[in-house]
Amino acid sequence: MGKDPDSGVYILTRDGGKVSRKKIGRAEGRKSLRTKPERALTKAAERPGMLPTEIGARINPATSRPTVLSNFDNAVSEFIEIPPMSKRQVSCVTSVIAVSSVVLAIAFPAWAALGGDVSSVQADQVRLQGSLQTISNASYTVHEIHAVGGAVVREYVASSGKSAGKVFAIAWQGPWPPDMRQLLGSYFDQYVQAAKAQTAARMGRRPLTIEQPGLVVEIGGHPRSFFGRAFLPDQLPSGVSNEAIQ
Amino acid sequence: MKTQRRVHAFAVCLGFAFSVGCGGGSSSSNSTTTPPQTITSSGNNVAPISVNGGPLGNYPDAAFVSVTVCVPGTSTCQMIDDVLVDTGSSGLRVLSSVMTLPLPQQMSGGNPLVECFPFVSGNTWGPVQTADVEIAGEKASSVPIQVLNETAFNASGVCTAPQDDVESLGANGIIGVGLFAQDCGAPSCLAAYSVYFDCPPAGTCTAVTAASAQEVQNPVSLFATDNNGVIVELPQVQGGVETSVSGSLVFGIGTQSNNGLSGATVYAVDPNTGNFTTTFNGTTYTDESFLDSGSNAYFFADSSIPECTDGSGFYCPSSTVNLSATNQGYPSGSSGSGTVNFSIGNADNLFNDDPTDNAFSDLGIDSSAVGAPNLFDWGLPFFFNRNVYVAIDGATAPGGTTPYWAY
Repeated sequence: MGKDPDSGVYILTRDGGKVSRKKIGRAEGRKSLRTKPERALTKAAERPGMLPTEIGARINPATSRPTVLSNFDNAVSEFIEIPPMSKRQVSCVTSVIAVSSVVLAIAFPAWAALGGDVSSVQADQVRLQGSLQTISNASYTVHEIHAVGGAVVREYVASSGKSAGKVFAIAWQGPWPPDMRQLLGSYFDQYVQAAKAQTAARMGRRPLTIEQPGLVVEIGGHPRSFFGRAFLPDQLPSGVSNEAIQ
Repeated sequence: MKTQRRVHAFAVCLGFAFSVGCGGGSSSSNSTTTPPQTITSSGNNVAPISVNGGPLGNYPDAAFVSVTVCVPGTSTCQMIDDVLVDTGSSGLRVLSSVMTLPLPQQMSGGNPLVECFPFVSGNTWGPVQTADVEIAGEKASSVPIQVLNETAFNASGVCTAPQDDVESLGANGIIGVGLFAQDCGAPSCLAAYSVYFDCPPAGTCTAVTAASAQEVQNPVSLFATDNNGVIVELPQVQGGVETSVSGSLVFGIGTQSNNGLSGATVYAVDPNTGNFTTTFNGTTYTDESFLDSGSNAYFFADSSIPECTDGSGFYCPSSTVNLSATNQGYPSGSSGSGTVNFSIGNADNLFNDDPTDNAFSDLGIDSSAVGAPNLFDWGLPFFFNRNVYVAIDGATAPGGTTPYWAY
């Protein structure tokens, strides 16, 4: 993913005062890509203490392709920044978070490798365009990116503790796998070696499950529909379970 | 390993015996309602397939077929044995190490078109070339195929750890006879997917958008007739384990007297993802499950079944467990649904009992060692004792809108 920064499939439109998202191309209506993020948002919204926001950002406008986005430039430029919500307002938003959004026209860190520092990845914004949603709770923030080509990537950044500010988990789904080298960063070689070892242990074509002391990678699916996640089990914020990463 | 399925007193599945009736369901609970299976063995649209371990004899639960490829428009041909039959993908991929033919190269602009095709278990890397493809009495002309070769073009940085030799692939090739006419997408495969590349003779490959006609094609779609899908027909594995079993790959659905739907239930599939819905153990995998002859086990998550201790992910229950799941076509409520009974045996015992065994009816792999499963993969064991129909997206086939599975 991210090899071609020139096209986007996730756009933002505004009808009166209501902002909505729309997918372009074949990804439009893709059920799995629609339901999973919404499910994640809904789950997050149900968590006590969660502070959900949704940020629609056209990442790095200077690099976007006019032929794709020009029709929506006006809509995007109309987005205004909404003041931060008070805790009392949050409960109102959580009930509708899956269907409408608070939209901010700001650039945002768009990509981070596993184990990386979220503040160090500004340069990677060039690689992605599309909408970005963030969901925060006391332990971590999920950056959910609707990336070029229809993939959805969720990055989990710890809020505190030993992995504060670091990406401790990534989950993704889409028609094609993302760029694993970019996603896994310094863990990529470990992943490749483990994958080879697993294949060598028993011949077969099947989903991949790598479980090592410092790295878990699970990939499944088939052409046109891939699922996966990777996380650092010893970097999970306290109180965060494996099941939260999906 | 013995399972609890009913074994017919008379019907010994001889694989290639003419129209062998392999009665019984996949478990005792539905054997009384499932009509006897009939495996088609004759016809110009029927190719024999075998679950026999493949070219190295080490590939459990994989079905293989022979495919003939020819230089387009000529009679210069070569038969490729031991090609994996994969309903989970589309398109023919052959190891360059077994190819002896000079096939014309597909170009992208002025440079060769090369593909990095992603499978979960590993990518395949190599140029897209054109061949006439013949299987049984069927022929497809000028089919873009992928010739797997790690060294012909520079995969560095664009295609990770490709499986391009017989040791890593376990097969001489893969024939994707899945739900789609193209391997990636229509009307094009976007550069953003990083599937197709423009590769200069020396230098770095660049991801490109490939038009649908450039993409590697499902050869079935390009047959002159019998081109709307396939039927994978594999017999029951007697006693749950056999050295090999043989069946048929039948081309066309409802196009001849030997490939009718025959009362099979049609399960429509999401045309974007190639998935439908499975409910198992109280979890509904909405648009997250699929039938895949190229996966060599049932692949799902059930935390109550212990894994084997070798780290392979296979399930190793102390005794065979009988399970049940419900499949639902897409979209839910407007397509077929039905219950599937299946069994999971102890993989260690199954593999170690006799090293020459290659067909196992009860192989399962844990899809998530740490919880949070998100898919249900009905691999090859599902195909035993069933005729599984795969109708290609956009084709006209009896039984409903394509793409669909039926069984």
